Amino acid sequence: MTFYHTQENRNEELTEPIFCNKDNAWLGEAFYFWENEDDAVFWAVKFKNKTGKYNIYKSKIISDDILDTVFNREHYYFWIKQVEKAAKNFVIKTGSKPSLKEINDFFKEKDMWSEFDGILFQDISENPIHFMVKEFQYKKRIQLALYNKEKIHNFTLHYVGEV
Amino acid sequence: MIDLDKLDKRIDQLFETETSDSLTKWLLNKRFENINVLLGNGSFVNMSTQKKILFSSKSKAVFNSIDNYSENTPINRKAA
Repeated sequence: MTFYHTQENRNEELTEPIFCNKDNAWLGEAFYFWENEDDAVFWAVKFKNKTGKYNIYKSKIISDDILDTVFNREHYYFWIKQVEKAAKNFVIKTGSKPSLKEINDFFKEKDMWSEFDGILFQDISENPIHFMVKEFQYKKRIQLALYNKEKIHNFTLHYVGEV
Repeated sequence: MIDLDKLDKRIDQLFETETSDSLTKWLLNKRFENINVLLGNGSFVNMSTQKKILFSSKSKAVFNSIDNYSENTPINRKAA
């Protein structure tokens, strides 16, 4: 499947995606991709705008071992169960509520997430063009957090956009 | 193909072995790892025990009194 990777344009072309280890990386430290190009562009305009230009890269991600919490019912309920299991254990044993990133990092560091190559996840976009239906955001914003770099194929610059 | 049942059991076993101490330690390390990178690992040294004086001077500073004070407007203001 084709996925999109957004970066600020710094007059250089990447040959591979940038690994994200920021605190707000909600699925933990990973290579992040967008499933839909319009979400990649919206993210660029909103958050990758410092140089006035942005790069949209595209890539084939080839893997049968993605935890698909968006379209696969079994995977989704498995995911919910593990997140809640972890959250409950952290709260009871530490007295502190973990973030989703901490839960993912924990599972990854404890070698639990090595069973799959990445997680497909969704939230709701803030992109106003998606509000085509009155007062209802009907479209999923889908992201892939990829842990296994070897699954990235044909990573190329799709186009350079201007903010 | 991901074996979800097997993974579910592995995660159950993981939390059975994690204690309050181990989870708290992991969480604190995670939350403060950036600070640890900056400060380094190890214990803090109490600076009150380090009484080695690095710089000292017993001479007093002597400041010249201003005796050429003028109320003239600065040149740049005149220009403006």
